[in-house]
Amino acid sequence: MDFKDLFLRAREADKEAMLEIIEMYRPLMIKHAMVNNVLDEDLYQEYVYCIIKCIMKFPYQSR
Amino acid sequence: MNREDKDLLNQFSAYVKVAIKHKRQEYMNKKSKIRQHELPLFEDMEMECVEDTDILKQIEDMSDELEQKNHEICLLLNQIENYSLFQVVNSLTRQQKEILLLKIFYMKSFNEIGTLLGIPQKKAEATYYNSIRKIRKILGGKHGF
Repeated sequence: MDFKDLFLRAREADKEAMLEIIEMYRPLMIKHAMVNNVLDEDLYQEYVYCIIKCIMKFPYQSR
Repeated sequence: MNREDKDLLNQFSAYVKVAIKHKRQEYMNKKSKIRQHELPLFEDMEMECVEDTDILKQIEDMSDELEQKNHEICLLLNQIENYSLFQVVNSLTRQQKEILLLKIFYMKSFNEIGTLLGIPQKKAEATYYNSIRKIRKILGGKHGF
């Protein structure tokens, strides 16, 4: 499946599609959630919430 | 993956990266603010926790000091014969009462008051004039306080 479909499904609040996108960005989130070489789980959680918000707010329709 | 798909993925990834960076910044600022308020307390506690007797002595001293201050505030309130003035002064915060007491009865300067109460001189001055303004406002300026 291509990314566009996945993204559109996630935008319609499809749980699986959302999880798939979150999985895609897991390495990025882990990299940025390291504080003093320790994974900050709260920060990681914030990132997950942030990605969900990004999915909903990304200006795709307007383009 | 076609070109449009790739573009969307790249743009979305850039969007997510920026959002994550902002989120990290925001989270770190929040955390450092919390730490700023927490650390002095812990440092004080560590310093104070050297010996139990020290803590007990300190508590005693503090309660003595507190009692003394309460006593002085009571003296101030007892001297007021006018009931409405008594009510107004009583409604002031503890710090306002202390500053009024030090300024009016002990004739201290704002600098000395600031040093005694551990607050900046400007704050002592502002608190004093605010209390006076509050008293005047409530009493309607009739009593020439």
